[in-house]
Amino acid sequence: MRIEKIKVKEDKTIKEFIDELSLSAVPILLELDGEIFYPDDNYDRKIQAGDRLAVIPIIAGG
Amino acid sequence: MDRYSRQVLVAGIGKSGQEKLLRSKVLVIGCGALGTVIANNLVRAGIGYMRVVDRDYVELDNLQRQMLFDEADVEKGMPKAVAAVDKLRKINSSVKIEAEVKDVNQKNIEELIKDVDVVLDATDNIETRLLINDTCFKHNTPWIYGAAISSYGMTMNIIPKVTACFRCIVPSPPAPGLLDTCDTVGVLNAITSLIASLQSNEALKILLGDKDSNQELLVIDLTNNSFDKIVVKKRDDCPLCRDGVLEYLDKKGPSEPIKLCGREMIQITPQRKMEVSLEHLKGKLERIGDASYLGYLLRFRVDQYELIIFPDGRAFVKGVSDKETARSLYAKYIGV
Repeated sequence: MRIEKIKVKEDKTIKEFIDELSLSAVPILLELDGEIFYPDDNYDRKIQAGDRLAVIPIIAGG
Repeated sequence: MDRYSRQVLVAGIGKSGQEKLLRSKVLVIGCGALGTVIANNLVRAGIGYMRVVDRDYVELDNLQRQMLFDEADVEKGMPKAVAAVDKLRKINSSVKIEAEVKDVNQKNIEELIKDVDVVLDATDNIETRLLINDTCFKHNTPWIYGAAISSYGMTMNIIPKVTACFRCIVPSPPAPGLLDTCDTVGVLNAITSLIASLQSNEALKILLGDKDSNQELLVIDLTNNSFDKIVVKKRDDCPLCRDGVLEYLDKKGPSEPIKLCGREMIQITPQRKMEVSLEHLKGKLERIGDASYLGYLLRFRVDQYELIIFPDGRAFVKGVSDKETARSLYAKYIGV
């Protein structure tokens, strides 16, 4: 698991961002500006300048 | 009380807090890397009662991170819950501790949860967590989610009807093979110890009625020592939070075989509650293979396979990767 920072072009939707990273089939959480963002709610929300979007993999190991 | 003198001095605990802890009851589900550290911390902290549940037995590659086990436990093939409780009783004999060697499922989880004040999640799969989530919601029992792999881990307190629930975060189990496991990416003992210590500390806060207990998802990555707290809202369409639908607790039908994290091993669970005489079964199986009865479990080797059979009829089938073969070996040799 490694944290990588990437820059995203403005006006891209969250769906496009997820598809571009091939994450649509992977269990993840999205964090947008410190809160969980549920993509089903607003998948077509456009990423804006200054947004901080984090992809958090779900894990199950114990 | 002398035993807890340094803890009693901590602001917010005191003598009355310690007395509250001494009256409290906790359930630890899973006794691996997280569960051993949680159980160790809470027994030393002086909770009153602990029930430790685990389906597995101790193996050599557990010792790197599962802090209550040693080489003798591996040698004897001890069930993890029993080996852990043996150690915990030596650490603090005033705590009442019970070991339950079983797989947690729809049939037994309510019995395990119903009389405890808080549940500590130390399991290794999403399905069991969804089941804990439903059951704790039904019984209004707080539980503490924790998970770790590689150098990465997360934890969150789930307080029924107050915080978001686990289904708000993970609405359904991911398809098999999608999640990384400790087998594919490994795991550091620092991250499991850290997450488990946070979980046990949050349990103490909940037991003490501390309003500052963590209600966010805490995500830690030790590659860069990042600690992120993420606000998790209840999901508008969560069937549990919105409608109280107990989909995983009310699920009917046979338990599916489970491929165990990190091993060429499949668990088969019988469809109904049962007790198997392992000594009797040993008598039957030793005529066709190598069978040894170890007091808590029966180990049976035949051809390239190994079956480890527990008194509740559950079995681990080793040396297979597909569920159908595991099921057919179970039917052939155990015949349930």
